[in-house]
Amino acid sequence: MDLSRLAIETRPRNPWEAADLGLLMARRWWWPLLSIWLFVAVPVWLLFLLLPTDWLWWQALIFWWLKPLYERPMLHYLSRAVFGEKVSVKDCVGQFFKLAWVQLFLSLTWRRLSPSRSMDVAVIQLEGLSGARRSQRLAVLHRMGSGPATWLTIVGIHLEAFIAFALIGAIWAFIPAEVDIDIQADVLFEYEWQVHLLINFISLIGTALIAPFYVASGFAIYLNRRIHLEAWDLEIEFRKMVQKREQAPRSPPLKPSHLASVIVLFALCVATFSPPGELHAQSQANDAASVSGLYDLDHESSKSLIEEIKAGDEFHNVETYDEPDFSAFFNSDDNNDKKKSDFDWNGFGAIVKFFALLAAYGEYLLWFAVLIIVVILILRYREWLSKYFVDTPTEDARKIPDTMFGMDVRKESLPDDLGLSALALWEKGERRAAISLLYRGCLAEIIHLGIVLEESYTEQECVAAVSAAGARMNDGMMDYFCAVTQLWRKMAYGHMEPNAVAANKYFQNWNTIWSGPVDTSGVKSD
Amino acid sequence: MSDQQVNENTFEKNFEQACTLLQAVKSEIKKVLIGQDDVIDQVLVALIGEGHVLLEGVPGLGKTLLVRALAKCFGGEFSRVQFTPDLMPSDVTGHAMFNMAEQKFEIRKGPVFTNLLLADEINRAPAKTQAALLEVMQEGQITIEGESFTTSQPFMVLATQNPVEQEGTYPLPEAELDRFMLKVGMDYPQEADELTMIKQLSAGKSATGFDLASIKSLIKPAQVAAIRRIASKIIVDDEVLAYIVNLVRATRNWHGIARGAGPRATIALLSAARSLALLRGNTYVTPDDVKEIYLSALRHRILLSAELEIEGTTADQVLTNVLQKIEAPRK
Repeated sequence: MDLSRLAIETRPRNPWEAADLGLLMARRWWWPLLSIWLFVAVPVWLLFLLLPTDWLWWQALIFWWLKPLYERPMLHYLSRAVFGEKVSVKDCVGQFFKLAWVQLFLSLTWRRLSPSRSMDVAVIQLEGLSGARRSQRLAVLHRMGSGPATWLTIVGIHLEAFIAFALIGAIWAFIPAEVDIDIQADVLFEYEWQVHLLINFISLIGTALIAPFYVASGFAIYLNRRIHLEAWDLEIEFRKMVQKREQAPRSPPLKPSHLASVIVLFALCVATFSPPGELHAQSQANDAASVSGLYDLDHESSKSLIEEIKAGDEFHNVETYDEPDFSAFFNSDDNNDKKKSDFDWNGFGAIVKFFALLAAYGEYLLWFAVLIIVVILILRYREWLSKYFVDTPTEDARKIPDTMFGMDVRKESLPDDLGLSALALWEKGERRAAISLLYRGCLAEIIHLGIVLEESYTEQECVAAVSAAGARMNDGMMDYFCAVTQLWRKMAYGHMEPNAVAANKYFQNWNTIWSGPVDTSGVKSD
Repeated sequence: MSDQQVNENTFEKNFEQACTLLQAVKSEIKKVLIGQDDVIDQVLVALIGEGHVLLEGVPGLGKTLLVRALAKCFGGEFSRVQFTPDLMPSDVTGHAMFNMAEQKFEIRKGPVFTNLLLADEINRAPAKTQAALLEVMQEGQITIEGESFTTSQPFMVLATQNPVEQEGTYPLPEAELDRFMLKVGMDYPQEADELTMIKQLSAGKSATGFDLASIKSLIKPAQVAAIRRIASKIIVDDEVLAYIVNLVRATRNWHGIARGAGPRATIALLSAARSLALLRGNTYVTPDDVKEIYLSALRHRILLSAELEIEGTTADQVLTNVLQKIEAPRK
């Protein structure tokens, strides 16, 4: 890493300004960045086309989920290009698998939705940090710049969506009025797979157009943070000064005191702001070559010089601040003897503590409220949710009900010999009860065959349901049930009693159809 | 043979004649209106049940043709009023006119004095003209200049409207809608039916329309009155009555229905179910008859809540939900 070859002006910037610089970088290297993205992402997108057409929704989701991987070759390019290295698109694309493999699992799981992803990815990809050291590094970096990085993600998402909607709108505008398309039904919700594919393609275009800006801006925020932390601007200035000295041998020799000051300041800056260990591995080699090669200062002597300078007045400036005294508002009577100028923070601190405590509990309360709201929403929309997330039990898995249509349909509730019992009722003159028992028996048998009947079914709907599930019933059962249904309908709604011959036939056939023969020789006619 | 048996035999004989006649009318209408059997059934149900029908469907489905065919089958009078934005109430009901020769006011009766009134594209006329039908649809009479005139009997209004076109139309007021016994939706015919229709047209004399002249006049106003009397004798079990009441009352407390159907809906549903039973050749009403006619009898009488309207839920979907949730009668 040769800072002198940096293609950007090195100066500490506001993070927003750094993000803006990223946009300029993206414009500067637009075609290489876009090419890299397209070479990497489009094959993945095409690969997902192999999925069945019903699964195109998954294509969009998975492609979107893998987005961080397509951005890594772009960052690789930028990290080289910004330091003046010549790197080709082909090289970057060729390194895709190597770059994508770095902390792949973590990047695609809980770090996937990190809003400061654009800034953080440099830490794992360029600095090669992981685990606790990565967290510590990010904690340092995030002290400045994580906010703009987060906003960068939010704005990026919106811009992608706007581009996609704009393209859909443009296509929509070009569809002739004669083509009758209900945009709500056909396009937004219940579209055909071709429309789905078109929407996926439009999303791809939106993502491709935004990705270079997103990566470059995130990288610029990261660089800016390092410029802040490591004082690259100062380092570059010192290098320039050294180079100037080298290139002007005829100029008066540098006074030893000045030279010492420069070297010490330089060393101090490097020592103070240098990042941990390997972060600067590349730069350390260069620094060592450029500095120690020129001036042979041993460690002890430079240390003593540093100590001497640190002990000087420049490091011991005493500044006096006046702060307002609020003690009168908080102090009790026993503090009256104290001087007014002695600011007592006890009372104020108590209030601060109180609010801190309130905030801590408030957070728990807020989370609790969120939980309650989620539970209420789930309960409120459970029917709608169940359509999507709960498998409807199959017919076999459904529990056989005990009562249907207000009637007890348990087999235990039916007489052992239903045909005989119905016959007995008929003989006693309870014709309606006899036919009712026959019909109830049929329903109970049908329900226990696993055929689902709803409470709202009418007699004819029961017949239709039984016909639809014909495989579970033989023709004899089907005919018998249809005939008894007709008998029952006439009896119940038409108040018409069946004649004895017909009734005899059904009593006699009950056991033949459903279990075994029954003796109905005693059926009396009207 | 006892009097009761005589009466029963007479009823059965009349009932069979009524069924035969109705089936003949249905077959006659089917000659020109192909693939809309359900719609024909429902129009006949309204005719038998002393109700009025609102036919809704996109242009070109044969709404007017159906009414004209029915009028042709029916030997009574038939009037057609094309509802337009400048139609005045007196253009429908009639008005008092000063006769210069005789120096006195004369009542000029409007087209509403007929047996079958076709109110074509009823929603194109403003509310005041639509309201002119309120009295005649409910009472069967019209008041002109303070004098009441009864219409011919039987009297039936068949109104048509186009659900798609909204520009220049006036939605029917609730009171007007409630007076229609059934709101029948006409849908596109099946492919096979449409093919039959085209074949029939290509074989006919006219290239653009159906030959209504081939339709025979089968039924007279007096016969309609007799059929209505027979329908009123159709047996309705108490359980079925309770089912009808439950189905209508459920709409008043149903989630998603801002305003449910009133008692007029209960009466209409009962009457329609009876007529349907007669049309099906049954002397009694079953819950199936009630279910079959429920949507047509209720869909125009309920007001959906704003949230369901926004979601695009239709009255039919909500009413189907009611049908699925209300327990069918069993004894």
